[in-house]
Order: sequence, then structure tokens, then C-alpha cells
Amino acid sequence: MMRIKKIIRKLKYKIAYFFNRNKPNKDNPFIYEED
Amino acid sequence: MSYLLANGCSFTDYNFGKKNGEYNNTYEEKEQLGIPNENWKMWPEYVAEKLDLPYLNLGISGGSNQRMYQTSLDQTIRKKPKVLMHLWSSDGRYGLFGKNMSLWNIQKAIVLAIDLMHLNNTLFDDKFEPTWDQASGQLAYKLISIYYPGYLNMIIDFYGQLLKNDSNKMRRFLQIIKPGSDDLNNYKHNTTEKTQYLAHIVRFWINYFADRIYLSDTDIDKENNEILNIEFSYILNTIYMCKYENIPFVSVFGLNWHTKGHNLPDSLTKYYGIIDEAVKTNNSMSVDNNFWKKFMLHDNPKNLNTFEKIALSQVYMIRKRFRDFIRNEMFDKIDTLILNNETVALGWPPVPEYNPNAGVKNFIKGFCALSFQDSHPDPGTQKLIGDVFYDAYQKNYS
Repeated sequence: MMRIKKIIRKLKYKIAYFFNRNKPNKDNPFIYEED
Repeated sequence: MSYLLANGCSFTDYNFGKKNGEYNNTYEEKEQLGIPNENWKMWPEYVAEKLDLPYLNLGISGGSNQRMYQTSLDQTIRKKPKVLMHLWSSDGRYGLFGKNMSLWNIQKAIVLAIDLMHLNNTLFDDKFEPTWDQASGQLAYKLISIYYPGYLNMIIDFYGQLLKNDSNKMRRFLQIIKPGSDDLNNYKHNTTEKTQYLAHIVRFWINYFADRIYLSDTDIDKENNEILNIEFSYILNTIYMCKYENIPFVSVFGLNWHTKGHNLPDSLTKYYGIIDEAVKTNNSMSVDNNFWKKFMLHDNPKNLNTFEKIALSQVYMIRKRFRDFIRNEMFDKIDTLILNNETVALGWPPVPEYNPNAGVKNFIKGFCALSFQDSHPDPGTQKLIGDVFYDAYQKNYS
């Protein structure tokens, strides 16, 4: 069960990466984080 | 009755209100915007009130995750808390002999130095304001004065002319060219000795970054994995400590990791495409094609200077690091502990590629920043952060 849960989670991350990988600079090139 | 131990960076620092000074907004702007100059109640106080416990807040502005782990461990040995709460900071911050250093600050300064050398006339536009601050401006100027001093007069002439009719922008420019910025995070003390110290640090980091320009993909992967191991070890060690000591532990990932590492100066944004291509075609699971190394060695236009090569290779390295983020063994361990409810963590993973709602500003409903230039949580948002910690504690430990 845990194995399946882990596989689903990894898959979820991979899908998220596919859709979000270019976001940090293309959507907001002026991202600025604080100290 | 024991106590609540809280730790974090400036989002947690009890003295943030007083210490912030004119770092992001001038006193005049702060008065207009209604930002207090005094300290205000931070989230640990709200949580402690709800739990009816005394509390100790170890948060420090600019503090790293490394410092958080080490000071919480030290305090736990002195007196075991009833509950530990960490509002984790971004990656790229390291403690060195008690000093906080931020890799992003140096990288940001390199990007800014390239913009200054290219006489980018939008650098002082309002839309650019949040991308850099006085400290990174001074560091950028220092970088140019050490490596390309021939550019200094040209930069002063150009921006002097450009900004002569705008006193606010001129003030910002004069702040970055004033001599004697002393260290990487703090520009307030100006002494010759400290200025020399800064020059040594700057040379160290430029050499460090320059060594990475022509690395093979195998070496980049190896180094990226080591960097991720360092970052994850503080989180994993805190979880292990709490398991061993039997302390309820609530983690909230406050800041996104690596977001600053994506920035390129205007003159280099045309290379984003080739960086994407290089990351996409290289897969550390397969044989390395060294697309990037070949590009830097052979296709790279000859007129790029060292700062530009560093900026490009760093963005490539960081893109790869976060592409391979979920393959790291320590990541997998933390992820499994969270999945099994063996530790409580919100905002995980702290990377927008894998979690579009990463960072408290994205996953806390009603999060309000102090101002456009200052993305720290405002006094009201501190209460919301406290609620998030309290709810997570109640849900999982009571």
C-alpha cells in the first residue's frame, strides 16, 4: 500500500514539474524573497 | 509545565520591526504605508497564548536553516521544550563561524553588476525596485571595482546623467556607490578593515563560481546532490532529534527555495532557451551529453565576461538541481516521513516546480506583505501564521 502511495506521490511531483518548471522566471522575473 | 520553542528567520525574529530600519522602505515611506518602526507580536507569541505555555523565540533575521537546527538542538539539550516549531527559511544560506552568509546575495550582486556594466537604463525603474536592495547594489559595485575597475567612471557618468532629475533614484544610486560596504548582509558599519575583508570574501566566491563554468554534467550532478544533502540534512536532523527526544515538532516551510537563482540580467535573457534545452536534453539517469559544457566551451560567444559566464552557468546548475530535486535520497526520506504522518510539515516541498503553493505567502489565505518592496508578513499576517502552527499542532498531537 505504502509503495503505491509513494509511486502516486512521485508521479504527482513529476506532473507538477512538467507544468511548472518554467514558471519562476517566465511568470514573474522579479521574484524576490526576504531575509 | 514546559515551554514552546520557536525558531525561524526574519519572518519569526522578535526584533524584526525595530531592526528592519530603512532596508526596504525609507522611514518616510514606512510612515505613509503605516509600517510600524517598533516590534510587533510575532507568530510564536500567538501560538504560546493559545497553548497557554511560556515561549522562547530563537528566530533571527537572515538566519539559515542550519542555524535553526543548531540553536534548537543546543536549546533542547539545555532545557527540553514541550513542543518545537520551525518556520523554515530559504536554501542558500549558510552559517560560517557565527556569521550568516547568503549565496543568493552574491549571485544577485553578480546579476546586478552585469546590468550596471551594460548601463541598463531600466535598472532604477520602479518595476525593478524589488529585485535588489542597497546591500546587493553595494556588493555589485564592489565586484566591478575589483574585477573590472575600468567600467566605474563610465557607470558613474551614465547613471549620474540619467538620474540627475530624480532625487529618490539618485539617492539609491549614491547609496550603492558609496565606499566601504562592509559585509555581505550588513552595510551599516564602514571600516577599512572590514572593506578589505569583504574583498577577500568576494574573491573567494568569484573563484568558487568561476570554477563551475566548465564543469561536466556528471560533476554538476554530483555537486548539486551534495548541496541538496546539506540543505536537507538540517530538516532531517531536526526531525530525528525530535523523535529521539520525543518532542512534538511542527514544520512550516515559509520561503520558496532557489527562486532567486533563476534571474538573469536583461542582456542575457536570450539564453533562457538554451538553458532549458540543456536541462531537457541532459538526464542524469542516462549518459551525459555535456551539451552545456560544449556550449560554454565552443558555441559561447567570445564577448561574454566572467560575470556573465558565471550567471549563465549558475542558472543552468540551479535548474538542474531542482529538476533532480525529488531524486535526492534525503528528500525521499523526509517526503516518506511526511507521507507516513511521522512528522508534521506544511508547505512541503518548498519548491514551486513541485508545489505551486509553496511558501507561506501562497498557502496562507489572507497573507499580506508589509509593502510592494518588502514581502515580509505584516503584523496581522503574523496571527495567521500562528493559527497555521496551532491548528497543525492540535490536529496532530492533541
